[in-house]
Amino acid sequence: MHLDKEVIKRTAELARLNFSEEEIIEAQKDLQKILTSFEVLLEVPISHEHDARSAFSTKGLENKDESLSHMEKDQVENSITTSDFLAQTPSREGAFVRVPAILAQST
Amino acid sequence: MTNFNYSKEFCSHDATFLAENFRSKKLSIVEYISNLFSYIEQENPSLNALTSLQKEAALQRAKELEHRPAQSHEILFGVPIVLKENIQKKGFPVQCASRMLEGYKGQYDATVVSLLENAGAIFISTANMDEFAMGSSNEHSCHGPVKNPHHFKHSPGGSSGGSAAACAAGFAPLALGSDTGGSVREPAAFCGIYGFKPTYGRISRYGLVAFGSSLDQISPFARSISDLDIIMRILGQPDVRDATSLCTSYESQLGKENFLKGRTIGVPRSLLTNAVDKRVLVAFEKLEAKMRDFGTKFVDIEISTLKYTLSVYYVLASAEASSNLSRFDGIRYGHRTQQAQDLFELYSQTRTEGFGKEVKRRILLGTFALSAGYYDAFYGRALAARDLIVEEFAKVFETIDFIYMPTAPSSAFLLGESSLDPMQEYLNDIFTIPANLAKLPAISLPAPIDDEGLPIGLQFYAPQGNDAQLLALAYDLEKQGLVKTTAFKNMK
Repeated sequence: MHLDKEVIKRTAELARLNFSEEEIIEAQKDLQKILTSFEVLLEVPISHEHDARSAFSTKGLENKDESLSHMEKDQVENSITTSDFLAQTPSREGAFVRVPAILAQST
Repeated sequence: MTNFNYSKEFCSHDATFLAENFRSKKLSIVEYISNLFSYIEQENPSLNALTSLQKEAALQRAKELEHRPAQSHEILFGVPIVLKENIQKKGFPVQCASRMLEGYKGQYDATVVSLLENAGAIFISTANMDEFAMGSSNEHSCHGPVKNPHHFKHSPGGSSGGSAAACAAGFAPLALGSDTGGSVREPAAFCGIYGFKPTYGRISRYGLVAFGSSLDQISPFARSISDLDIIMRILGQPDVRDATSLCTSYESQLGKENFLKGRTIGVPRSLLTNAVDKRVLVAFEKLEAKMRDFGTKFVDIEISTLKYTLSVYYVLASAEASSNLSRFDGIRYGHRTQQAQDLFELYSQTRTEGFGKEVKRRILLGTFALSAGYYDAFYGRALAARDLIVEEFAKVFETIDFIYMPTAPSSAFLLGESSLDPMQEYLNDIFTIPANLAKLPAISLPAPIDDEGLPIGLQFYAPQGNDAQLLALAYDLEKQGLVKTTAFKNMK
């Protein structure tokens, strides 16, 4: 399948990465090579049991054999203090993290 | 106290030996660790294996341990260990070989760190790696590449290249790495030591900086199987902090039965094409022949879904990585750009400045695979293919005990050689990736080398959960001299 520059640019935007024009061309070549080798995936039979949309289930993580693993219910424990956690924040004010304004001035 | 010629002896001391001598007070921990640091300070600059030596902390801990008796559960009392720099330890740098986390220090202890310190171990340093564990050569690191201790112009493998090189060079008898697609087994093969990836879920991932969450496993390096057994007894425990942790514990099978006689081992013979280095094939066939002499049965097997392996892995691993690395946004920790007018710019400029080329390439690939319009074609199909691979391995293991393959298609390549073509570097992982996809335990064993050439790794897989049986097989192979750590000759 062919990847055009617009697709790469849009993907980069989604990934929050900036690429120069040169880097976009290089990324296009690289990804094209990688994706061509992935065409073998189009042969994979998808039965109703293997519905691609069921990707949101944790099927990929759980072992079929129940005795091998399990999921636990989350329990809230304050295992790290706010001061420890925010100690390495690039810009903070007390218990707050400083960021550029999210809403424009005129709003 | 005993008189060692330390610089010649470090490689011959395994953790089993050290723990015994430290526990009985026959050897001074402080004296040993001090001499070890002198050796490391001398040798590490040429290898670049270790990134942040923690001499003060280590000696402080050594003093504390020296002045009291060892408790019965402290089976690694005083033993030095190296930690890949993507594993959290409070106060240690956890840089993941990335500019994104320059200056970042661990904010909590990973489960593996707590367990090992509880067993008396001393973490002496962080180890170099490929950035965010993405790579098989340890050339994608903001600290610069790691050199293979056996031949400095060659790669030690990756992504846990620093840990492997450190263990091979005698900087510590045990080193922790992480294995997502072969990142511990391949460097173990290239550096001539043992590298063991447990069953997915066997060792807790709590505290491991996530790359591919359904594939990652913290995995140990060692120069003897008895050391791997000790570390597995400590680390192979259920952990409530890791939802994917197994319910059962590792229980050693070392020496309990003869693992060479009467076992059936499957070989995917059709994979051993001329893409595999001749010297590797010779070593592979030599071990097979010797094992037959000991009563092991070999059968040829076909695993048809292996043709999907590389694509499935790279789609899933990149997709998971793109999700996992989205937390690096310059807000709460790590690098933040100084050049942003708004939040969007802050995110994108921070990430562009912080991530290296290979990481960006994989994030791009992963984001693409997950984006609307392509999701079903790539990510959806990769998940379906993964299920097929898991099923096929389960079926194959119904009639055999282990699978045997080389660890990598070649021995250590030259630094700079593989970074030209992305697909070339990915092909290095062709024998290791299936174990991560199918969640199987797998081990790389060093073939005996007698021709001054580079180390060669030979690999075995076992069914899910059979970690102890796999180590027991390896133990018997080691006992009979059929596999052997490659001697470190300390060449300049």
